[in-house]
Amino acid sequence: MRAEQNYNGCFTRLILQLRFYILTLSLILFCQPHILSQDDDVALSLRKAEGEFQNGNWAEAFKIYQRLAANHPDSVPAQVGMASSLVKLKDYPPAIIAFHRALEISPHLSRVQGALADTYDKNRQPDEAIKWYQKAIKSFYGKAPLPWYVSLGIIEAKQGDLEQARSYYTVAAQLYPKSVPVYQNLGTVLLRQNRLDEADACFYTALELNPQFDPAFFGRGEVAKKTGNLIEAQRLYEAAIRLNSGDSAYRYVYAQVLLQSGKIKEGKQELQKARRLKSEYHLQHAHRLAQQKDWQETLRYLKLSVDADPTLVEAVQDLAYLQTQLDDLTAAESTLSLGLLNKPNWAPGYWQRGKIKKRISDFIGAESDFRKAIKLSPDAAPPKISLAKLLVETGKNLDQALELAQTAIEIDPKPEFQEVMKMIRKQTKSEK
Amino acid sequence: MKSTVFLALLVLFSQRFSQAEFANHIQFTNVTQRAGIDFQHQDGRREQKYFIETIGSGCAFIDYNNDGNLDIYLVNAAFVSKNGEEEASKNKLYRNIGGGEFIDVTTSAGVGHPGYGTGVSAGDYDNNGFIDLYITNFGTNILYQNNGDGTFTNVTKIAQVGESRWSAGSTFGDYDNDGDLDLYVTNYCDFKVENHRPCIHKGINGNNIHVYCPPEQFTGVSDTLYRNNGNGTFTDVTREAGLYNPIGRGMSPIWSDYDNDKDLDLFVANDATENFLYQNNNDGTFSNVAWIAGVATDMNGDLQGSMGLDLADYDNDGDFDLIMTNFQRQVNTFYRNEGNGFFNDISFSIGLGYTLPYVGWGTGLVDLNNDGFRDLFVANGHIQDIIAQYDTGSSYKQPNHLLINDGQGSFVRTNYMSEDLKVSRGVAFGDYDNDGDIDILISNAHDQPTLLRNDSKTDNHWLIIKTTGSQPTSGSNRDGIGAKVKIILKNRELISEVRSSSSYMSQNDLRAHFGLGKDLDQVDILEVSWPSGKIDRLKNVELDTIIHIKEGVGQVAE
Repeated sequence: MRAEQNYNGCFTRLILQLRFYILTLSLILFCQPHILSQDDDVALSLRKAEGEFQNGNWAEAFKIYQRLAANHPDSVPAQVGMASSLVKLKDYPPAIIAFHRALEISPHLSRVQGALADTYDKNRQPDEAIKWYQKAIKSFYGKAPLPWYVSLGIIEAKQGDLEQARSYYTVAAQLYPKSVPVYQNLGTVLLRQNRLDEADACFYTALELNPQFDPAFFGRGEVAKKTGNLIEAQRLYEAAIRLNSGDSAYRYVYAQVLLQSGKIKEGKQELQKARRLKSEYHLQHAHRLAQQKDWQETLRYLKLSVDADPTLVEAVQDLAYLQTQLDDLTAAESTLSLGLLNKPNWAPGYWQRGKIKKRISDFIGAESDFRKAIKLSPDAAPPKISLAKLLVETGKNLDQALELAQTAIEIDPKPEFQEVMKMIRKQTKSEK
Repeated sequence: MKSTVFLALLVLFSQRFSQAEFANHIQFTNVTQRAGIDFQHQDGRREQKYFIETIGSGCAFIDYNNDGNLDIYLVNAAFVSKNGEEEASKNKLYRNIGGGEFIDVTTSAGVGHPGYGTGVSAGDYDNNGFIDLYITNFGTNILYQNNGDGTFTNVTKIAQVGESRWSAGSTFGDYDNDGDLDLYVTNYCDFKVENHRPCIHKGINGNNIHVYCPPEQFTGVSDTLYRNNGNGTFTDVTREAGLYNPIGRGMSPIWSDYDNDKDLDLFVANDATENFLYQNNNDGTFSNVAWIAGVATDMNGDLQGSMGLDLADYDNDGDFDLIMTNFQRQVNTFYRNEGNGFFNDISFSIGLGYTLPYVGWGTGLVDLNNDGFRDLFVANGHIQDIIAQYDTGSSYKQPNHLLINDGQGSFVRTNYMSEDLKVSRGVAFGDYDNDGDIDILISNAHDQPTLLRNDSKTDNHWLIIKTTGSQPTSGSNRDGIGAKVKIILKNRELISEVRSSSSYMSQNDLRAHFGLGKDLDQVDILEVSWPSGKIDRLKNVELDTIIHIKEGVGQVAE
């Protein structure tokens, strides 16, 4: 239910916004000479903070700006710097407060109004974002920055108001006739409004400006598909994929066209590629979240990864591992079962599921899984050791346990396996 | 020149007026109180915010006593606490006594199950001529056998259909064409109270907010297919039918012969995972062709949070198209059936882009103004009661949506129901007052239901067909579930299919309703293709009436 909607142009928006923040700070610093005429320490601090900000040390930049703001509460650069750093740290509510404080001091700073709008958008307050973008555009002297129009269009599109989105993109196209993202976004909205000729014209223009712009090839492909020209659609999707082979959406739509054209085998192959790409995308995101120790979100994205392609063994393993670590053994067992449903010869999967079954005292199930793992991978030592330990712990066939441990050590004579052997021998002796 | 301009303006004005005209003729009246429906849905919400509290319940239009009037069944969820005492919240059955009024007959009928109810489906599984009820629960599901005397008996154990996992939707259908109704049950996820963990979200003011967890926190579980043994019992044939699929978080299922090969296929709307389309292989097994057919995901291959669904021929091209309702930031997906086994996602181009901020549940493609084109109704409502604290672009209570089919392949949004804000879930459609237009019953979470009487004023004609299969002697199941009804007019053909549950965990009127538009005196040909393979054909059928067709016999008196 929560998959993020993929809007063309978002990636371009991010790059434009980073430049925007740096420009905002610079303009405030260098267009307000009265600030520079202050205390040298203040100017030095501002420069240091800006340096930290540009180097991506946002926490450090924030601390410097915060100190400045504490000593000079009417300093607009300090407030804006604080706010911008907080935005980078994804702490939006205090950033909003700081931007408002800056605007209380200097109400007509349109770039700050724009930054505030962007922060409201990030903080999921779209109505406020729209309001402040509109204020920023009105109060800007000259041509308002392109990202503001693009952002307005994206917000309106997300709210389902395609007509309003279209009007913002149309204005942007008139003001910035060489902007590829604008034509792309406008084309996408027109496509959704079923204005196919206009959409195609926009995508065509984007390609004239940048012949390597894969989203525009994709857009033209969508137009061709909607008009029933599957051959042309196929050609255009192929062009998009050649330029960007990692986009799962391209592969998915291309697969649909192949299937509907009767190319079933190729269509199925592309479908599998699309699912695998999507799954890997979610898996990478999950790994990034794991580095931040956000386990709830990591779990969510691992599940998305497995849902997208349950044959991606790495995703199944990672999900089962995390579920085990979070003590949800039932879920871990289900995950591994799903993996085994799709990959019946996956020996490590049986071994891992066996270990979980043992932990939840399903000893019969555990033994069965260990045996399957051994059968599928006779040269692997760990399942043999696991089965040997289980046989000993359940008081079953000690001779077989000994034999398994012996074989495992012959394969891999690591100390922990030797310890298991000792334990089995001891048990055997005491039984006798 | 002036006359040209004048004519142009006239054409423009008349086009705009026509659009407004058909919109203005649509009229619904909230008659819940007047009808005597005093039901209050409870979901047992606690400060812990258990996930179970989010999905709401379904509702049903059924004629349980065969008096020709649609009765109402409302599913309830949880326990309430009154004056410190625990009291079970029961499902309720309201008998239609005519004149737009209903009376509560729950106790005398014996169908007031006090469990945590989710959905309801109906079907005459024992072919005794009286409709039975299957209630899905968070807990053991219940099969109520209709005794034919106004009472029901809980035969769950005898019938062996007591699925005990968290079930959501269910639907009866004769997938093996042996004359009795089989049962498919969707199971949602592995949530249990004991494995509940709190979920936290950052608010717009930076504070931590306790929210309901998303479904991705929980693992899906496989659905269940029960094959009817013909002797009052069922057998779980999920695995042997090829339907064991633990990846699904099943919400709403629907049986339909989408590929016109004379056997019932199965669509399943899944939450936060791929949807299923199980194509019947006609040998007792199914194959999941959702990815290939193009209905597993949206147009970009992204998984959706699908809740409700319906199948109907929205463009009158002879095949059933599919609507699925989805979560916020996902458009309600409309898949047009291309007639070759494939579907295309045309959601945006037919006008559904505006649904992005809403959370859709029950839905129906029904002809609400009888103009011969199926309109679209969607019930909306968020799951997070405090959504405004961290996303001001949405709201907990949301307007339901009524979109009119313009007959040109698109839907036009109307402002109806935009003021009645509730947290809606299940929706059932049916003509409870037998005046030829479709009324709407909505189950609202933690609130009273809404009964909307259709009071639209049009000159359009209509026809309602009740089907009865010739079982238990031979032929199709008694309800005629799975029968395809086709109306052939001079310039077009309209099709419908008799179905058990659809929408969201809810049951519609089993009778097939057709809006026929104006300018016709009769239906040239009416054809019923039964699941048994038999076909009954009637000619020169009278308009604006309810007719009863019995398999192998034709039209019979009520």
